[in-house]
Amino acid sequence: MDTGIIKKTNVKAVIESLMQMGEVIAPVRNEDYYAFSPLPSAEVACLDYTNSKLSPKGCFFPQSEVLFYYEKEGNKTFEPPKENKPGYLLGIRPCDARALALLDPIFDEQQYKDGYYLEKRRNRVVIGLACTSPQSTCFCTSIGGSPVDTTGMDMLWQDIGASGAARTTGASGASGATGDRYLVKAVTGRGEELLAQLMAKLPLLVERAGQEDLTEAKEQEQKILQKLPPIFDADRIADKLTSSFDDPAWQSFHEKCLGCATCAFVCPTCHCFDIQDENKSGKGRRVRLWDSCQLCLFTLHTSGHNPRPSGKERLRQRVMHKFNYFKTNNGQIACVGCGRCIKECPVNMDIRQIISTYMEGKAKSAPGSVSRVTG
Amino acid sequence: MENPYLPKRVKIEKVIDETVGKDIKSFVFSFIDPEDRKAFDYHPGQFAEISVAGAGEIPIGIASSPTEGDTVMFSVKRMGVVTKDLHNSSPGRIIGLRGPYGNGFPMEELKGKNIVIVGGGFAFTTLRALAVYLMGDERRKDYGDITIVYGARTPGDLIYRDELQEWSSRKDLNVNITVDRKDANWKGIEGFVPAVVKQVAPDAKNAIALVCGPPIMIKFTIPILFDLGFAADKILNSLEMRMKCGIGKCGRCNIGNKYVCKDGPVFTYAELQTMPQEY
Repeated sequence: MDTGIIKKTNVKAVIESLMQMGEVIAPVRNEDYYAFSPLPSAEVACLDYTNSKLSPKGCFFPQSEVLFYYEKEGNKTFEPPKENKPGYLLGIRPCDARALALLDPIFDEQQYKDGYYLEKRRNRVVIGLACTSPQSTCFCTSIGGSPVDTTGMDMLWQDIGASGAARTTGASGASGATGDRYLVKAVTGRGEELLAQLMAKLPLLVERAGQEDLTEAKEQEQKILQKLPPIFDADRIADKLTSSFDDPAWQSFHEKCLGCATCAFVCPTCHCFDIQDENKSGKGRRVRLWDSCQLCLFTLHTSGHNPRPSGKERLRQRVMHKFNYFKTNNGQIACVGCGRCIKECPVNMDIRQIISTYMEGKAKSAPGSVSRVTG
Repeated sequence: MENPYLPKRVKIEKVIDETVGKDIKSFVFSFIDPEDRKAFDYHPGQFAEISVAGAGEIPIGIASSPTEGDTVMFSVKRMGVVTKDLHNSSPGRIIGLRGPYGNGFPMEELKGKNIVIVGGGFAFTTLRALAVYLMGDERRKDYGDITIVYGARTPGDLIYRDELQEWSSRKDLNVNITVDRKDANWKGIEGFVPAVVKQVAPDAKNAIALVCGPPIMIKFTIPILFDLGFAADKILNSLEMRMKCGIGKCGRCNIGNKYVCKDGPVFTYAELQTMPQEY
């Protein structure tokens, strides 16, 4: 695969060039957090960031999306116009890109293809950004990912070079981004095509990478990996959980959970949705909206019966779905270790701890001892 | 690419009050576009999403047999927003339908077997589809004995009453209709479904039992079927779950790693024994 180099001083020009080719969605600073948003101009893109508050899954699976418009009289339906314009998702972290690869088999399943998701996946080139400085809530290496993982991306940018250059300056300090240039690695055919396009269009700004760049990237990778040693063994999690369904520890785990579903909304792999009709004088639209198994109405029957009547069943569902059921059905764990659910939880629920408890087989022996500890 | 969320347009041809209390109505639909009917290739035990624009969608078992012509029938209890809207409809109204979904009953496996159909209350809809399919003139010879046990709380709560009477007079069916509490006019059996199954005692040899009904009925019927010699993988249940998409994506109807909408709604009792008790 081809590799290039983009100096940080030239990034703005490269983004401007991408913006000429299509819509560019990138992390943007929003008061005290980062959000993925279509760029109005190249300079608002913030690549010296940690990670966004909401995962970028919304670029392909929006929080609210019109499935179709209708007229009540005669039940006539009208599909929304297809967008079909090319775009670029720039600066997505490896954990979040990996999440896209996990969502693909759900929406691109053999029998029922979800055109809404697939169309956006087809139109948007995913340009990832390797991590340089993990946060305390990160655990991608524990579930088979890595700060330089390219799964789910078309292209990866890795921050390398001149250590110390930017360490103390402004916003970059938070992320620990230290380099003076990006190593640009094409991952898919689509990524190669884009790299070739950029090299042809901007020969002075996007150069071919040399051997020393590659060596430096390798060293950088080792350094980051050392900062993030795995805390459990991903391959064994699913098996360990299989026998834990009736474990009394679920009772103590759920006790502090408020059932607010923040964990699911910030999660890059949670994909449950609701479908609702919105009316306006005889017309309306059917929309799908993010939903969560953590909410009490999620499984409530009209009869009043609820197969998951309390927080215990609902928390268990979320953990079991990600670490056991999804693996059985799709061969992989549906968690990417981004740590958002830990960071944003109002009561400091820590999924690492739940998993560790079952991994160490401590759940049955000490069900009460685990509910107040935080990561 | 076919959009799986887009309902096809169907016209309500007929509305039938099934119960004395008028809380269950059957709706007979015809497809506006004949191509949509061709694409709606279903078999007993499957379900579909009935869509009422402005109200929403509901997953409902298909109560007609594919052998009954081009119309499709659903029996719907008045419960929530969509069912209420539907209940207020008259023939001629156009609504939406998408499906068929789910695995349905294993029609190939049923061939050559003795069939035991056990239904309770309102859950008899897909069993009705199955019974009609099995007893059709050209197909009846493909199956052995057919035993039906169906019960409701009161005579007024029995659905498909005219048909039940017709079936009872057939020599090639063993039909047992029961009510929990009889009224002055009821001349038939009185008693709970499990007790009647015990009394009728269908032979388990080369037989498959299909059981649909309220959880309490299933709970007491299963041990009786075991006593009669039915193995767990020869007892079939059809489950209900809250659903939205019906196509295995929206994530709410799972029991363990199985989705009721795609892997079900029909499961053998043996399968259910390996699944978490979360339904």
